[in-house]
Amino acid sequence: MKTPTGLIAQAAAFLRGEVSAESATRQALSRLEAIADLNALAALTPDTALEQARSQDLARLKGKPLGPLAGVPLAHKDLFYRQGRVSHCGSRIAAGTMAETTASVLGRLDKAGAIDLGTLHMAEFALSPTGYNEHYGHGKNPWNSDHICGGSSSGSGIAVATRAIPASLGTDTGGSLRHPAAACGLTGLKPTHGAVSLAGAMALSATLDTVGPLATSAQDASRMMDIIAGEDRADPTTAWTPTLQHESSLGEGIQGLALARPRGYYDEELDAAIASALDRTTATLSGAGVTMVETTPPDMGANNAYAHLVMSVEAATLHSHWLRTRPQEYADQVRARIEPGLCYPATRYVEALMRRGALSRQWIDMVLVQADAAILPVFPIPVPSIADTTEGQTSDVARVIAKLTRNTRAINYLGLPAVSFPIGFDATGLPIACQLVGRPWSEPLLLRLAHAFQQTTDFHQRLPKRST
Amino acid sequence: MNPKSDADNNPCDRHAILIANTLDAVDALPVLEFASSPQSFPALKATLVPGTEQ
Repeated sequence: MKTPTGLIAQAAAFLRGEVSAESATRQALSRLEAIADLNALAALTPDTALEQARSQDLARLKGKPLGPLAGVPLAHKDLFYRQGRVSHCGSRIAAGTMAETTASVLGRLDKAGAIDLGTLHMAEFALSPTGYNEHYGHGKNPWNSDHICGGSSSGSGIAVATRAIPASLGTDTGGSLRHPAAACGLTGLKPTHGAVSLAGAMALSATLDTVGPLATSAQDASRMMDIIAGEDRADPTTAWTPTLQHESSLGEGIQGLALARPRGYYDEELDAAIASALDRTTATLSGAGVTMVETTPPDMGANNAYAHLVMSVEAATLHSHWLRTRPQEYADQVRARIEPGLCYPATRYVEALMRRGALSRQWIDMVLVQADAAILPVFPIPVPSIADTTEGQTSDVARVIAKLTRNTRAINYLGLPAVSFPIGFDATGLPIACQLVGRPWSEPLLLRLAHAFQQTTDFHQRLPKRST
Repeated sequence: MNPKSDADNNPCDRHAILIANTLDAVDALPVLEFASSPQSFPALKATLVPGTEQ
């Protein structure tokens, strides 16, 4: 039997005995191999995956308790460490690094019964919104391989969009889950900072880093969040994290909720087709009983500046030895994003941390006001071509790349949760996406809104040309 | 081969415009409050835990 493509559907099919874990794993491995030309893969580990799968099959045969993802094959961004496995982190410098411990989130997925097929392509050290990687090839968009797939969780985006696997973990420090979600037509959740453990995942900027799922629907993303979120003693940023119910709250409906549409900054540089898709999305949600309010964001200049400052200082600190001793082994575009962090005074960095709470509160007060969440574009421009982000004048390339992160990176500095999902397609057939941003810990509510939208639309179900 | 200029060798010179623009943007903010803490964001999160909102 052919395995269903959705995460929850696959888990249910395994529980019902309609598909074995070994069969599902073999099918997923074949599907991943079939999209290797899109640069989705880092390294698959079929032997250990099949061993895990047979163990799940045996557990089911013996009537043992099974986890919520029992028998479901997954693969993740190549920065989640697994003891005894090699990770490259998309780089030449860290290539071949053998992990001594296993990422807490992988441990939680193991416990839930998921099968780990191996690692997926990513931007070098998670430092590109496009999927750019000079060492292992640029990730390619399954809807049109001349276009970017979004990054830095690029392989996760490609693999889930093609339905090779039903979900994947990525990270988001300035938009790295929301970018591939937007470019590939997926649902991606960037959690509140501290909601999901970072332990055992490559650090880029610990203050801004978040771990979250890419899936084909808000419902599937909710199942993933129920498994990976929550306090973890290995990561003190998760201390006092509340226990949130993501999947079970989807049924609560959205009648009576209020959604803010911030204008000003978020309308600037906005493509007309994306603006229209946002209008249609708010109309759909309004029709489902959501009250719409227009608001005005604060000046985003300082928020964007602090996002850059914190990321570059923390990354430069971690990379300072390699920047001194092996600078030529970084792609120029990547090194240029880290190097400025060597130059900011320490007082400016601490100031960024000291202002973070107040600036986050200001954004909430001005953008949300009394609303439950805000709707923003992810990209203000159509998904660009790979050539637009790699060729031509350096200043032109930098301008395009800056546009891709203008609506995402400040959300990481502000520490807020955001869910990105498809809300249409442009004239060339590439996805258009929005992001819903809320108060800390509002992930269940954001997923509920996205789920309600997906109950009345089919954008998230459409398949790219290169689906498997 | 031409010798590299100082701007090529010094990252702070190479990224001088970006660094200046960044500092200009944050200098536009009001003076930092004397009671500010680097734990400002964890403190905000704590006030917004469901069931404990102020």
